[in-house]
Amino acid sequence: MIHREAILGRISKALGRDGTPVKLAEQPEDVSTRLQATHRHTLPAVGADLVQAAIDNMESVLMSVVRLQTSEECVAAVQWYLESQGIDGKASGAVTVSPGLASMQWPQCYQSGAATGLEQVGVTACIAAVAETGSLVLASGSESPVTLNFLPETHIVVVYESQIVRHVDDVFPDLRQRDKMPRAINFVTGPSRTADIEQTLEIGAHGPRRMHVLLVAGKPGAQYG
Amino acid sequence: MQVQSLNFKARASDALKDEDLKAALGNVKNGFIGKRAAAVKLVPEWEQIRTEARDLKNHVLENLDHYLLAYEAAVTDNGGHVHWAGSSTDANDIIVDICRQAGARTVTKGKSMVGEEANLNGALEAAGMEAIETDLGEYIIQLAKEAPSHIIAPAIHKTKEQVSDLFHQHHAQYDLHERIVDRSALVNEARTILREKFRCADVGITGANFLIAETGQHVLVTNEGNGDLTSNLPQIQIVIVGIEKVIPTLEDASCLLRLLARSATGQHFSNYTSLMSGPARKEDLDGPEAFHVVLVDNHRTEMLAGELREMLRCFRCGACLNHCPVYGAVGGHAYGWVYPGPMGSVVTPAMVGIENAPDLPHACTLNGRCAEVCPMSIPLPRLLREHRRQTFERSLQTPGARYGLGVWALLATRPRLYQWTTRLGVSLMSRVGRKRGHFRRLLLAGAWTQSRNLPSPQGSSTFMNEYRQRQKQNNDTERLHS
Repeated sequence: MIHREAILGRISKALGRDGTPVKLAEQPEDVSTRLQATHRHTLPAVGADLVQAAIDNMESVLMSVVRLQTSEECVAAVQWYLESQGIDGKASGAVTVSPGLASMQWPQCYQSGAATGLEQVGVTACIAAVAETGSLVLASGSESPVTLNFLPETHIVVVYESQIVRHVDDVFPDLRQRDKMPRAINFVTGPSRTADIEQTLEIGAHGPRRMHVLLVAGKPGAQYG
Repeated sequence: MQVQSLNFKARASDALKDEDLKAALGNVKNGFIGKRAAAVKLVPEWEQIRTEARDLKNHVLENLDHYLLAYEAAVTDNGGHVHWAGSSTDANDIIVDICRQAGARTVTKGKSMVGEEANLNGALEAAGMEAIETDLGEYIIQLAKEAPSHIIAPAIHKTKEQVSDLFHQHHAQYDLHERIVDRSALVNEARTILREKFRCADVGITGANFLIAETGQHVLVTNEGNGDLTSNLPQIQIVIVGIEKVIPTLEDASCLLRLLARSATGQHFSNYTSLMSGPARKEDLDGPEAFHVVLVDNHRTEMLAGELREMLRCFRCGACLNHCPVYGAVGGHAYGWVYPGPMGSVVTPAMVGIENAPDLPHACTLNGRCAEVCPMSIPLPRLLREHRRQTFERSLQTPGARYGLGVWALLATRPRLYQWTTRLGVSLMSRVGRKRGHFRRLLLAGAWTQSRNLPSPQGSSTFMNEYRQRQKQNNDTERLHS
């Protein structure tokens, strides 16, 4: 607490005030206004076709995208993708599905829950996707463990076209509507990468080596929301 | 780490002779610079966003204490703990204390420049804990027991053969004895070893790119995902961060993030941009049980008070390093502390004392490229000049340099005397050197002519002479026409 008052005192002095530490209740009006009224900055232009812009940006950061007509196709699409990558999804403990997607008809051998750290594949939902950057937005909660976004070597994400927003800023209004922000909100924009050895790009530093997006037409059904 | 900035000149000379370093720094031109330029070109709104970012950060600095208190209240509301540290040592004490109370043995770390300022790893190790850097570049230099040589690519000075040697030497303890040189095999080996560390770590410590006052969240940006594994797997999460990192709202974060990723690596957006706050909620399936933030001053309030306030807009993208010809020639280690390049030459003297780094503000040609590319519009050359003024005021240069500056000041403030002296000098040099065309050695400029020749004047006319003559000619022509 000594440090707190000392630092606040030094800031006050540095700003030409009398050096008395301020209190939260003394917040000036322009600061309160700035904190409450959302102030949008200049946003870069994004192509008119949001879905196409999102796909282009996802592919440019090395995520593969497959388009599906309905959410019923997700299970088969996952199996087809795993086969194409030479991954044995039938092996015990190989695939963990986020509880948020539990109502889809997954094979018996897939498990549901937080990451075990031993699975090869994680399948998760998301709360939004951003056309501007190609990012998938994943939020922690009772049905979406954070660890599943980072531990498995392969990360498959189910995205509905209706979840695609234009700018990063468009993700925030829905989040503010909630009682409380999720503990962790991850904007994931491609598989894990590093260029720390000789500035040469290598994929799969610590997180997933592959990311695959199942882009489903329309809106998430109530059961997957 | 120990401040070695007093030895800048000697370290820079050594660096210039290092062929491996020269090759490694050559990658900067093809890598960072080109990628940034291409990314910026795709955003016609760039300058507008840059202006808004500058204004936004200025507003925050003018109300810094109010925003910090708002952030603190929001973190507390989310169930987290906020600590305040006046100095780096205070920050280390607070963090070591939290780790001790948790009975921690292994601590994973995401890259943090504030942690580097404090030599946090040293403090944790002194307290008997294993502190492991998880960013690949930081992991490499930790094995080499070196400081980062670039703020976003800490091991940029290492060749893959050097990395191979380090891994061969240090990974034997994990029963990995095969020497590997292939780049992706090296990345894989580090991944395997660090994965185990992530799994068994008791505490995870990261820095933060921004603190959001509105929500109590911090923003953490990485490309490897190591920051998220460090934050989410251990039971205790600690964030160490400078007090200048606070911003008002989420929209302010998105504005700054647009500038950060493009300026740093030329990406639209970094791979992992995460917003986090507080410990795991009741309903969460994973996440830490306790969450701590340590807000560090470490001379930042002094910068806020003085001429260097604008430096507090810096969000550590590294663009000024990449575009600096001095950094490009000598690399990061010559600067002798954790921050190199133009931003380092401003920040280091402010944090370690100008008397411990008097040469850094002079390691600059005032070419202005750093200020041109700085996404936060920080007038780096002006701030460096401010340091130079101080080194002169406090008599920190050699007597020779002071004497020279005194003579220069005498001439520069007396135009007539200046013109007379330059006329004399030019005509003398012209008479002596015109035939050969250049000087190989010159009195009082031995250091300059050591590495190049000075062309000799081909006439005895000075710039001012020529200028006056042209003015006169112009006036005459005008008169003729009127």
